[in-house]
Amino acid sequence: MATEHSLPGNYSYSEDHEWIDATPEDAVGATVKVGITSVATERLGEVVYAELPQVGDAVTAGEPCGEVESTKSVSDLYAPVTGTVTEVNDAVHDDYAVINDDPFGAGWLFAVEVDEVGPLMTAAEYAEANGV
Amino acid sequence: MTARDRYPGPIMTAPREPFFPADRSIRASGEPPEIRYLGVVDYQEAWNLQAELASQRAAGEIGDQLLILEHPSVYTAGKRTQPEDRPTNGLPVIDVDRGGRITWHGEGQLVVYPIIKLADPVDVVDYVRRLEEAVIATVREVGVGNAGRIDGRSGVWVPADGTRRDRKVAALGIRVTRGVTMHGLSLNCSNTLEHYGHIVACGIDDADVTTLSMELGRDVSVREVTAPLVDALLAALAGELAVADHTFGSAPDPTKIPAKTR
Repeated sequence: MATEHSLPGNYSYSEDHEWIDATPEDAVGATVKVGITSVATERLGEVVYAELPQVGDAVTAGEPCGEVESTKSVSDLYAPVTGTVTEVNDAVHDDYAVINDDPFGAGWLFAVEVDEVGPLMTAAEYAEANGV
Repeated sequence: MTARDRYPGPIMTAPREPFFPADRSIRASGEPPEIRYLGVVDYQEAWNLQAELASQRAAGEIGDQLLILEHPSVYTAGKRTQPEDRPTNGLPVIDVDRGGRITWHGEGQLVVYPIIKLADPVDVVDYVRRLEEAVIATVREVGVGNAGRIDGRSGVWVPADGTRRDRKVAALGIRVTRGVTMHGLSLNCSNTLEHYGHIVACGIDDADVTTLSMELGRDVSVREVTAPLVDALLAALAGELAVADHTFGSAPDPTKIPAKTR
């Protein structure tokens, strides 16, 4: 693979390339941040627009909850967990480059109070599944 | 290391190293796509058909499809279309769910909508570059030998010369849902450019649009270009037509407008 990925070891990952900043066990009942992985940002190209869920929205694991636009393409954003959106990172709307530059940090997208988690992988499992 | 460190300059730069070997198919299926020649189809009708086919493709009920058509005159606007991009002639605009801003479709313009299940891992950049590559090959084959890319902008362009600015001959706008593509590309063959005069096409106001007929000084019909484009698309998707760097210029992407200013 052409590039290296530093996947945070304490995060969990979905096959749709979203992350949460917790283990599945710790996530249930807690509020977690959600973002897209560096694997996703590379394959999307430069993000120019994102449509995110709003505070109070219910999201369902595996279901679309927003959109990301890059390279003249719109791609769905899938929720990695089921729960209620408690916060949205409005800062990304000021400069979407932060999603490409720091996908696991400042480029987080929204926070969810988690009822249930979808199928999630550890960093090692995600890395192996994506050949990174 | 950030994405910017890895890719100096705009991340969208074409081509970047694909995640698939360039000689491998980007389609999940090895079966040839079904090619549907639909003639002139109303935009909304074609959009409904695309959505239905994409949903069936995602569910594995059908194979890949290539829709070949023309639309009656219509403007379509992606989500990021700015108020000032919109037409000043009172004609209706259909708001659509593809990437990109506003564009025009009409008879004489060849439209292709590939409904393709992309191979895992889905690589949107590679897909877009392959579509562009197919159009570049086709446009050059027809006679516009210097058509290529402008770094930072999608679509296919003819470079400025002594009297004319850079001008776009083909536009792209894509949507990917559940790994299946929708929307696609439009290539100006013999259409009028009149309707572009009323919008800021793709949000780019420092360049022009053109047609193959205008570039070559003869009538280049949709009919003439269809077969070469279909062949080139199949080859590009299959990895038999490698994505190469046909970049002749660089321009800032004016479409990156922070949401706060919208």
